[in-house]
Amino acid sequence: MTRISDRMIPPGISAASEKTLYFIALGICSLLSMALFAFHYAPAREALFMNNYTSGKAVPVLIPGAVIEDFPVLLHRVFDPLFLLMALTPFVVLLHYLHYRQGSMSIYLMRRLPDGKLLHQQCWALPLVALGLTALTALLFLLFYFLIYLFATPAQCLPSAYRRF
Amino acid sequence: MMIELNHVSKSYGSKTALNGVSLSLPQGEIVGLFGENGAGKTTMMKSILGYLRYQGTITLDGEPITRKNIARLSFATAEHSFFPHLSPKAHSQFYSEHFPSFREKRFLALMEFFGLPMNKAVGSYSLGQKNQFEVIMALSQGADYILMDEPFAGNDIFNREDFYKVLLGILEPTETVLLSTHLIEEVSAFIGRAVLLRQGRIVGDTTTETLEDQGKTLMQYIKETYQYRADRVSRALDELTGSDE
Repeated sequence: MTRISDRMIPPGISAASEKTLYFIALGICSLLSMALFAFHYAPAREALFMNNYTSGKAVPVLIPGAVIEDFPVLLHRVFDPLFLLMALTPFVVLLHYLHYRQGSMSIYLMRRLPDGKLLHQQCWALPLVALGLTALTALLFLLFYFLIYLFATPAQCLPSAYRRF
Repeated sequence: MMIELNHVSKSYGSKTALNGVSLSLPQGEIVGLFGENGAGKTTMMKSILGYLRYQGTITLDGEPITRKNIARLSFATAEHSFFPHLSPKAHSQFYSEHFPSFREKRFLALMEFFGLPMNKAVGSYSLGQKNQFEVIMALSQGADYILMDEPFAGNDIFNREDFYKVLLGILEPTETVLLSTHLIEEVSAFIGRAVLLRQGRIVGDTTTETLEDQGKTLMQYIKETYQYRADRVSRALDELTGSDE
């Protein structure tokens, strides 16, 4: 019986290795995205405060009427690492198709199969799954960043459109 | 049952590889396909298999060759069409899953006969072993028409002779072989028909029985058909040595 994995990757390519590489790349891109968000959000939040020295020490105090920047502004380039990972999808698909011409011309065998879909399934399946997972990761991070924006920002400093949350 | 080519033409840019070729390959024949390099032998085989676009028609029992009947054709090529990272055992599993008529018994017997290791990646075989494996898979697929494009390039003479004997022994009357090779004298003993291609056209098509009746060898027939001049080498040498003086 054909295993699902046999239909999802060209023969001879290790599905385990591709998954490992993908999750390492996803991990790195996720960390970069979080770092970029922190790079934008932290200074924006800090700008809501000024130091009060009346006690002799610097005590951060909210600047009256200060409002933090709008959420989309703080997302500038934050998702670029994940978008870059998604943009690699066509190259991975191309590498899969080229695999059938490395070491031999197994493409001749694939093109003779009664199941004409198998070649394309093997080339596209994992990259499309990776694309979907990356997109889902980006959505989850969007939600995560929004929650940080809502709950880590002093309520009175949120733009009026967000106060209803 | 037969494969039929009708006025098949194929060009690569301005170069014509096949020029209006018409040919019938009935069931059960072992056909040698001969021609100089660039004559169109590989192009003909790849057109039959649907790897190339061409003008004209190619049919299998009157029907176009599609996914529905493609499993009735197998192919062994000097370029090799196996998966280099997979073992023969894994190939056997793959073929069993995708070719309903896969002949596992024949596969195992041929693997044992040629002494090829079952659990080693085929890509790590020697060239001769790779050629043997390529042909084994073509013969074991369960196809009615077995196309072989110079499958013995790199194999030693003993290997090739063993192979011809095995081939003759295992082929069933319903199996057809189309074999492209330059090894004319070697294959003349076991083919039943010879088709000659030259510059994309069929210039000769005869049976070994006809040649026997005419008292000719296949090599003689080919030389006559190609109008091979036996003195061309001596004439060329005369010209060369004559110009040096």
